[in-house]
Amino acid sequence: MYIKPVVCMKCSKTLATVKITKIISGEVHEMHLCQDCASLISPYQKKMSNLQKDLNEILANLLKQEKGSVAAPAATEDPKEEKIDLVCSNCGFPFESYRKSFFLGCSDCYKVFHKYLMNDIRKIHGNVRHRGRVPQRFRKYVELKRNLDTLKRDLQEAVREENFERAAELRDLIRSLDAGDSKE
Amino acid sequence: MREDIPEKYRQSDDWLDETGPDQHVVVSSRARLARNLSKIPFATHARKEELEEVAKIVQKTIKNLPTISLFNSIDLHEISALERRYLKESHIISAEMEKGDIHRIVYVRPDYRISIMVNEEDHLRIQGIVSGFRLSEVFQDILNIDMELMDTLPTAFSDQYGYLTACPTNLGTGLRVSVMLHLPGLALTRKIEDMVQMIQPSGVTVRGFYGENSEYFGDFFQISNEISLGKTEEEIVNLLLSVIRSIIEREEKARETLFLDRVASIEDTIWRAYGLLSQARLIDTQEAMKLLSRIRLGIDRGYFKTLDHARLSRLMIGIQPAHLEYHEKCDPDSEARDVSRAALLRNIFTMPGSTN
Repeated sequence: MYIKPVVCMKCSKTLATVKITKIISGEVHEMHLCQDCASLISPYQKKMSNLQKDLNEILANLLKQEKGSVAAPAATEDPKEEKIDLVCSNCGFPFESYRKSFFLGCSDCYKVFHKYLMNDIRKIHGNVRHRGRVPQRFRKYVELKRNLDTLKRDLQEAVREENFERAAELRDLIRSLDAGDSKE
Repeated sequence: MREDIPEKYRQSDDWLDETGPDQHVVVSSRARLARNLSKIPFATHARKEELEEVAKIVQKTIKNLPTISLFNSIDLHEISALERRYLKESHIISAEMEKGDIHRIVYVRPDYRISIMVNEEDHLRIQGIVSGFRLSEVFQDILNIDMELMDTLPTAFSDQYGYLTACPTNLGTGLRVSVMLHLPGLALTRKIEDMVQMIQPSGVTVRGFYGENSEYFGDFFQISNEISLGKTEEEIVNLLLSVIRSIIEREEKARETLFLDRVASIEDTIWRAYGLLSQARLIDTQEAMKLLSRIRLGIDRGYFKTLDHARLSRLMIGIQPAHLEYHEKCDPDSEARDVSRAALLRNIFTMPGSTN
């Protein structure tokens, strides 16, 4: 089915994406409005508009995170490129030594050199996400993290399917878990 | 002969005596977990005091653990170079530990099937070895040790990369499972290359008898997983199980073909090996391994009634240089060893009843 695009009846600037049907003394009035104009008239549309903004923001953040993690270590793609004068704040190990030996200095080096290591690790293992066993002390935390990842994937799915009620639920759940995460 | 071995190494090769499944192709199954303590520099870059700190933390922890406190500890810096080489030949320690640098310790279960190396390239390497095709069993063994030991230590771990290791190639599970295969059928029919090409895309590596950088000899190959991050431990073990299963089938088929199409020539190589082993006066390790490999194929075909796979596996370790020096008390120069090796082998292969 093809719906002919209509310009917003109120501002005439943007395309109408919302159809509001009002019944005034038995008569049916149909209005084709853009999201902004609709939210001025209907409290429900206002809520939807805010939700859409929230979701956009969350999605943008999600995408930014993932893009960032892929794009950032471009520096390591060409080893001849600029020298990286980074030194581990815990053990004093210089990043340049890693490039020569492929050994790191201590467990904190993985945090400090994170963005320069990601590409190498992806090359070695084909991925950068641990799925195996977790030591006792980290079990609660990792379980939470893994739940969060699943919820974020579900959220993207819900938005794609325009299931906004489900998306809002997921958004609230992610926020509450994220808050718990940062408290730890 | 065995009275000469110092008490502490008496049973270091006993794991070879057990018969395991698929022993006609699979010599042994091994597994190891790489673990580190958080914040303390990895052993590759740690200072003496830091290595000592690691050794002390581990020692103190182990003392209170129900199973591991029964392990024997060996300070590799304290024992002789010969003893270290002996332990390496028995697959109890790695080449890195054989150097015997200060604060390098190994904890060994009294039956020598499990050892914990302290200050290898990682702070801790938990490894297990059993004869035959028993990967799941040996993995479960070291996992139990890992749970007992690491849950009480400040483990280096991140939710993204898993267990953090000195070299990024071991990240994630820190798990390496490997299997030693004897593949004379594929070697004699020139199908080793095909086999390597077939299995490599599934994420496994092929190495020689003593692991990394060691050469191939006597048609023995070590196959292990390449990737340790992004898969669960069970997935890694299952990958190896299915790859090895397919190699065993190929090897069996190759042996069938050999004994159907080229029976005269294959029998000839086996009996020539027997001839050399029962008569030679000088044999170096490589030649001996090559000949024993032919004998092993003969055992599978029922040619040597008094020998079995376990006995032969033990012999393959027994003819290694440090084992010879220990057991046969020969001089440490290479000719004396070759003489002694030839004598040991003659003794076994000219025994009445060693053939049918």
